[in-house]
Amino acid sequence: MPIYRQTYRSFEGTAPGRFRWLTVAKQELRLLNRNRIFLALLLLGYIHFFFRVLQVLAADMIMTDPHNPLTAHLRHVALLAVNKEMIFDFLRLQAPMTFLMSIYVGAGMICEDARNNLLEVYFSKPLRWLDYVIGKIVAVLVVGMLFTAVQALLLTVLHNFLASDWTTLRTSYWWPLSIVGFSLVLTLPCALGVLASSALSSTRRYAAIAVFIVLFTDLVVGRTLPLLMHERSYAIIAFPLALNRIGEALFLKRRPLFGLSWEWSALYIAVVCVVLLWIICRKVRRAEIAL
Amino acid sequence: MKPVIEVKDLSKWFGEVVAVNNLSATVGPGVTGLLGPNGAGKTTLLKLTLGLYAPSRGRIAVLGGPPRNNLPVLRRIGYCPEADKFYDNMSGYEFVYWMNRFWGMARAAAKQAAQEACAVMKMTDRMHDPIDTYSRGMRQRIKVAQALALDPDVLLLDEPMAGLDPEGREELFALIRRLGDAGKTVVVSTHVLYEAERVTNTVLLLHKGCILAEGDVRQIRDLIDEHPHAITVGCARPHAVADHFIPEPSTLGIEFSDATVTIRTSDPNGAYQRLNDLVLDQGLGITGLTCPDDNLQSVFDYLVQ
Repeated sequence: MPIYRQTYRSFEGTAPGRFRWLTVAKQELRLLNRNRIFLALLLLGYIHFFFRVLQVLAADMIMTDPHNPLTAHLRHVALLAVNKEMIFDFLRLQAPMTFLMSIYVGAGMICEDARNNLLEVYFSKPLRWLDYVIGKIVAVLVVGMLFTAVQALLLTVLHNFLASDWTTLRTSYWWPLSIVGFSLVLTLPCALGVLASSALSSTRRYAAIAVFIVLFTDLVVGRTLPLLMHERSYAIIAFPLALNRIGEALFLKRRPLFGLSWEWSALYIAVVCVVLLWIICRKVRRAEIAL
Repeated sequence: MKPVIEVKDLSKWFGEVVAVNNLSATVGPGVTGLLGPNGAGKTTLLKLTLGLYAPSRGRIAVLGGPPRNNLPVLRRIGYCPEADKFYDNMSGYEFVYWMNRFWGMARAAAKQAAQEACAVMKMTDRMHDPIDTYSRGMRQRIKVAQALALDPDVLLLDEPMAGLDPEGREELFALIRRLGDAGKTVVVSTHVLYEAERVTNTVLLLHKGCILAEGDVRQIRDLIDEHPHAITVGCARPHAVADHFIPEPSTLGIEFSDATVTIRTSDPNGAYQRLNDLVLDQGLGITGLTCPDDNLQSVFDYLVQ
């Protein structure tokens, strides 16, 4: 055996930063930023927002102007009113687009890393599996928030900006909290579901198809079970309804879809999220040790 | 004088497949060749060294500590994997840049290190092109670049020459030797014995997850006393050479081919002395003298028999 004449020097570098996951998220978002299809879909997702901006302008500029001939007509159109119901409806209608974008963005995130053997390169760096998982979730969440929270907050800001007095602010000061809360409720399960599917699948396409199949099955069960059991509470199994129930509670909307309280919906969503997170963590950790 | 990589009674199995079997070894600074046929456990050993796998039994220490989830240790290791798939929509430079960022470099430092690593691997001209336009050799260069960019103390290269053109190989051989001379610990995994010979004499020979031998190639060769040593002599009269070796009890076999004779002997020093005498005393014109056993292929062949 050779005689080792040299030895290693002690570690002199700086310790890795706490927010290593941020680099993972940034990398994903930078890559998306160059994707033309993503940018086109992003613009598509802002069409609804554009019409809502027109609605806010109409409500706050035309309807409050006594000299405008349209005011008398528009004042009776309840649909144009800017209130918490309008924000809730806006977010609710953005949910399908958010879901589709989450699939487009997240379906390939983990499976393509695994397929391209990039996980071993990532984990050969000072990067823990938890940083990787958090980074991926944050990347999908940010995209989801671009379609929900960001747009709804902009509408709220515009509504307050155009208001003539402080009454609007007094009635809408709590909206941002509800907006962020409901947006998280809409986007987090989407992100976790898509990433779990990506972790379980071999390709982006299979991951997307799997998510659609699971959602479709859930909706069918959620619709048929109440009919079969003669109990409306079983409708909670339909995930979109459970999400809406939370939204109604956050926006203080008194319109019970079914007899069950929002707490049960929140528990159901939380359990699903924990299960999805467990799947992602388990698959990524398994990939780490058994590539 | 601690070794940089220390492996003690290390085993790793996947279900019923034992990839690394009760392996004990040490690796010091300089270049070490990790040799073995496909399925010998080379890549598994490298991944254990990186902490990508948890040992099933035994322990492994890199730079004095266990590598698994040990971020300070991982910051000092560079790894070039065998597989050459990447994000196709990313350029080579971006790939190296992001790997630097994952390592913990600030943006400016990551950019500079990526540019320098691409320059070292002669990829500056093409570094901003998408990876899917690269040849296999270029992808290989980028992989090595991302491992080098971090200026690691320990460099683990899994089949680094795969896909490189002859010029690229020579450049990489030289680079690996330079890194070894600079005091870095470089482990080069390969199943092509010639490649390991070009960068180092220090090897770890693996076979079915076990270490067959470790140390200097020639020392290993000398230890195999029970195998004959082959000397190939090129000359105009090979039969005349053979006549002088046939009576010797140490001669185990003689083979003829075009103007050469290969003598297998259990006493190599005596055989070389006899050849000297033939040239000096009898004026036998020897045109070539080679020792086909003095390479890793024959060492490996002997050991796995």
